[in-house]
Amino acid sequence: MKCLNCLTELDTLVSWQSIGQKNSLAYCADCQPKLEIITGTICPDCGRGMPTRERCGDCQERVTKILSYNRSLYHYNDACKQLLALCKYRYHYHALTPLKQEIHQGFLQQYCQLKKVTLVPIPLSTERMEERLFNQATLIASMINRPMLPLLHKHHTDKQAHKSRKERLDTVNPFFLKEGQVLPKGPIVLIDDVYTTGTTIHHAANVLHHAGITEIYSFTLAR
Amino acid sequence: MLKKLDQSIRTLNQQIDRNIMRGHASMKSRSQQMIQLFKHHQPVLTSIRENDRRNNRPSHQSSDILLNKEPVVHEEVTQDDTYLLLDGLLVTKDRLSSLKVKGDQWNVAVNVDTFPAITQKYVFKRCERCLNEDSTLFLFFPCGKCHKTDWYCLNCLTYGRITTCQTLYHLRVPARKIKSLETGFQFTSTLTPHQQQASDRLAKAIKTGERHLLIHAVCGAGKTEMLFHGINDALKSGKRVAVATPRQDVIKELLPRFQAVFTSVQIVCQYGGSDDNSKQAWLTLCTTHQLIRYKAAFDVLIIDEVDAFPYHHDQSLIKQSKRALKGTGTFIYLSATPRQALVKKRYPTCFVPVRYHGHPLPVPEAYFTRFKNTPLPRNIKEAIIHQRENNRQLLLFVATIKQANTLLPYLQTTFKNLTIEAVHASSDERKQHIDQFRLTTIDVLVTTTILERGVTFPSVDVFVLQADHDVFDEAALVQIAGRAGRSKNDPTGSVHFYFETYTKAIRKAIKAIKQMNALGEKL
Repeated sequence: MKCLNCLTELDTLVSWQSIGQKNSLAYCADCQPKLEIITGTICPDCGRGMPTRERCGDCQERVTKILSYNRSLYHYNDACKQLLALCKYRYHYHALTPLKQEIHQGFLQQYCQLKKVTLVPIPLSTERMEERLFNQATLIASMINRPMLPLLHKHHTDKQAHKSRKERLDTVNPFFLKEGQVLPKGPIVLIDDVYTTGTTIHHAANVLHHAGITEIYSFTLAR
Repeated sequence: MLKKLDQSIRTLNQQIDRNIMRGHASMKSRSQQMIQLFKHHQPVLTSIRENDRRNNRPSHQSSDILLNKEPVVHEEVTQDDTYLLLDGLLVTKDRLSSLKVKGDQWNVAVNVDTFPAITQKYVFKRCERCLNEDSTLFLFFPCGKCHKTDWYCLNCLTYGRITTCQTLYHLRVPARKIKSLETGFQFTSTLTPHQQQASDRLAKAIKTGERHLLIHAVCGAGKTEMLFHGINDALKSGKRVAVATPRQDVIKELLPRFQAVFTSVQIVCQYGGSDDNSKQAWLTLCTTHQLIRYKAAFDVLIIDEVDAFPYHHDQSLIKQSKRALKGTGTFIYLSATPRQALVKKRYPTCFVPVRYHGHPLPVPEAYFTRFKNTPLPRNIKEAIIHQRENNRQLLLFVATIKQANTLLPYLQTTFKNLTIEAVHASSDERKQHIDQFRLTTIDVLVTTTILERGVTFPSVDVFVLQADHDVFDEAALVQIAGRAGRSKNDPTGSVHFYFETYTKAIRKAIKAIKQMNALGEKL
């Protein structure tokens, strides 16, 4: 077994149990990303860690309220940025695999009260898909043990990461639903990798809302 | 047969075009007609493939010609140097399309071989770019483009991901005329008789096209100077040369020396994070990792410090360097401490046991020291005080980065009148500190094994703390001892090993240095 980042051999305990087991993927002690789970008081709308239980500045500016609320697992610190860059820009599909258990648990903690929930990953445009060959939102959704439905599709736009804050807030809605799509009956949880200004998630929620879905939540890896 | 087929395709195309103009046929019928034509010629195609198989040529070449419709015409064309230098590049699709824009003579000048990026035989996979065959370094993922389970190689992920559904392109530019290169050779300093001997041997090996040559020269024998004449001859006879070494610091130090000697040659210097990585030249200086970009590209490949980490134990690096060399090319290994595995291969060897100034190597002195209670034991402290009486600088080697970081504040508090800094692989000011040390603004430099080889400081003393640590093997200790007394003006220097247990490596290193000195005296 080798570390996913630096490829050094990991010390693993060899026992009778480990013989039949599948090789699980892991990081070595040096490469283990120092992620911080969001705990304590948060903004009730976007799930950002806050000193008091109030809505944050971004959420107060937002007038329409289609998305019920967003919850995130980790603080978006440098370690988290590096990890997501490894996954998204160096195209390392299995960079997030060691966090599988944690992501599943984190989701259940926030959304265990929802019944008959459907996960909808934020899509990639076909151009980006050809470059990356996988969708990181689908990857995160597949780690959660709930039914997933890729409802949404996306027109090609520039990367959100290269835009300034104002440009991001002003972008046109790139998402659309295919015609004749059968919609699920229960609540929907949108899944994405990171919630920065929330524009992407709100665009996606808008499209679903117009199609007639009333309960929309979202869950992201980082905030 | 091929020409016939090509002609018939063309006439068919013209016919269909005429039909379309009249409004008789749609695009669909065109494709159907094409399929019929190919069915008609099926026996011809299969016979061509069989012929190829008999001649041991991969079949995709012939199919390439068919798909291109216009077979590559071999005419006498004026070739640019830019095209000639593309010879032997191994690229992915994105890079190929960016290269293709360069000119319209592309199809004539460059032959492109294609092959799948990851091949599989039974259950054993192999990345065709980094030649990695370790099955634990291949991971699978659901591909969003071809909707199959694809594999990707972890070993070369830093150079861009390689997946099963990708193809690799090998560019070949056959040179029609051998062109000699203006080198602007400026190398005036005279070589010692031993250096001259080695230099001649090397030039002969390159000229006659020997496959392997090992030059075994002690630390500070002037290995780089021995290379210049041989490389000059090779460049003049139109051969392409690469000098590779496992260490980045060594390459960075070699570059100005090469630039001073070969004044009119463009030299490309490639290492992780350099700007030259997408360029090609007749003389390439690179780390061994960068050879991943080439296949059958060089006529002469010189590998400096072959015994250094990670080259000596990374099989895929060794395979890559073998691939980068042409079938008729010459391998030249340079080392002061060749490993057993290399010595056992019994390649023709040229041995230089004397330093260029003729003085013997400083023999290390080993002292027993306890490191249990303090990072800086008393006898080392006294030795440093004693050492400061002469005006040499001091290199303190430690085993780990952690040790360097704990030792530095101790030293800075005990010796307040000295400037002391530490360098290691992950320190940000690494280059800056080394430059300062070279300018003698830093008195004492604490370092990990990154400065163990290839670097030259004019007059230093060397202390090794915890010389019994695993990272200090025999080769490393001999190399470290070789840092002292490298200049002509100050050919001596003291080397101290401080150990808790007298290891085999320490014993063997001291023995090897003594042996070298004895051999040098005899000559």
